[in-house]
Amino acid sequence: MLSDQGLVTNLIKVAPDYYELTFRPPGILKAVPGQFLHLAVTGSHDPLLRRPLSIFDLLEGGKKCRLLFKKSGRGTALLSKFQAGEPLDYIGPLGNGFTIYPGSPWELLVAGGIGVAPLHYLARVLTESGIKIVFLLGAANRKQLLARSSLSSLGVEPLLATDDGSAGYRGTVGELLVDYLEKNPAPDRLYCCGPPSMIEQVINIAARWKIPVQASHEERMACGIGACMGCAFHHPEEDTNPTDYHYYRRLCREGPVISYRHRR
Amino acid sequence: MTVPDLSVEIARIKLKNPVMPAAGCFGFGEEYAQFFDLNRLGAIVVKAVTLKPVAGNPPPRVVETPSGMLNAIGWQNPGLERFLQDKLPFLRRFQVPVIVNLAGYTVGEYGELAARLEGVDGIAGLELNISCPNVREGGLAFGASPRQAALVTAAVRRNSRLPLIVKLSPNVTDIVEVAEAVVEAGAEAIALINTLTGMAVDLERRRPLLGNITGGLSGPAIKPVALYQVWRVAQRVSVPVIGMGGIASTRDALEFILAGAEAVAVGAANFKEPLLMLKIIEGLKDYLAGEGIDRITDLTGKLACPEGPPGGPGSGGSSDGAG
Repeated sequence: MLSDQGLVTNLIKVAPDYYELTFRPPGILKAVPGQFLHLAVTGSHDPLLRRPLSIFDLLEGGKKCRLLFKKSGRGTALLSKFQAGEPLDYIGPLGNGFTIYPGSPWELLVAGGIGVAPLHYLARVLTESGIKIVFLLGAANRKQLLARSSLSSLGVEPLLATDDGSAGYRGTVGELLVDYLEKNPAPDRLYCCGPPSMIEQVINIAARWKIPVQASHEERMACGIGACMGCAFHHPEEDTNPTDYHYYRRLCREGPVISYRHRR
Repeated sequence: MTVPDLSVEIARIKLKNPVMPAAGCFGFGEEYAQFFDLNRLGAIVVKAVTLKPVAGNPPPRVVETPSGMLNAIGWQNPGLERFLQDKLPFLRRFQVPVIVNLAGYTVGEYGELAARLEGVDGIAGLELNISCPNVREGGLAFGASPRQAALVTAAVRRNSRLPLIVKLSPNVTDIVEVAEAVVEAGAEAIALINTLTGMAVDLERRRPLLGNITGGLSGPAIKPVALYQVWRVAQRVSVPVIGMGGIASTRDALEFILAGAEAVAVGAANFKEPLLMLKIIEGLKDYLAGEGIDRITDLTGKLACPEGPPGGPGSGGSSDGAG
């Protein structure tokens, strides 16, 4: 793990407020799906902090990296202004990624909104290992269903859900998941990423079918490497007292992917 | 050409250069050791250690603000026993003075922490944290009053012969009174400033952004306040001052040294630039060489002020003299 400087090769707007940035690392970038990069969005100290973005795709044996992000504040607004040829200062890959089971015949992936980013890279790694994928993709509306063509190029055709019914199932991706599980055999596990309310809904649904979940969470981070204790996360299944030192884990180190086994 | 001498001596601790991390911004060193050789630092200052393990505050614990950040970690740490067992052996590998930041909820706890660290191998000095704004008891409660601050300092002084630094809060009416009180009670150096109390609001949800409601502001946003407090305290106390608060460049470090700091600490800016402290050490060397100055100590406190500066010593901390 080191701080490195890549070279931006492309930045495109993929939907209103959503961008895809492609860069070349200085060498070979090796990362587990679910890991993130901590990006400097400016050379100055305003904004002061880096921005953590999970890896959306890693190509050409780690010589090309794609990031997908939503413009949602000052940092991502600055990131959306990057141009081809500019350097990109990053730390990483960081964090605990998804656990992959190489012998598994198939896997279920559930993404909400921008949460498709780490699951897209997971889908690439899984399909390249010959594992079949069922991908549920939800968003507010058709325009915000991201990465569909890229998933398609991996041979993954996601089942869709939109809140407004403009594409696929009308409703949340959680509701689509219930519909799917009622009609199909349950998987050995489920991978998910999305907004906090969506992750919570998916974990609750998975608990009813006793399906273990690996969920990638988001929290405000400062250092991103485990030193500052800023990205505290309490695991609801962990049997700790609120006064225990380990009651809060660091989402940047022990996460961002957290496992749920429905033990409680 | 001779290599400029960056060494300083603070509270009987000899440092090969005047650059160290600010407590709480460097964990126990393990994470940053993945980026650079910690032997290059002047000193290592570890995160606050309490007698018992502490879970810390509910999230969110950090919020970015213009040129800065608010934090409300709340002293999450493994406690003294596990610090000694799990963290200190790693730090002993480095040939760099290790300064342990002590935090307590009662005067007795500070005293006990000091007693238990007495004679422990690998500890060069103590830094008393009486200035954390993020805990309800202890912390700032001791740093806000000269009398309380002196009580805590004296309790530690009685139980320890280790070099003793006291870290002060800017969240007081007159930081000089507190500084003088802790020096009287046995402090051998003063570190300042800790964070400034602040808050941030989520307008959409009409809630505070921090789980703890309030937090401590750090980063370049607080540098002018920190410089001012360092400048004032350095003129009034006889012991060395370690300056910190928004340092993010060599130039910032030099400004603090001119204002009277013998050494400097880098805090929140480490998060952006893990190698920043090394850059500053090299930058100080280059500056001295370029200016033909032999020793960094030749610059300490050499700020040339006009006679009777407004808001200066003796004005009781009021800045309205500038008007």
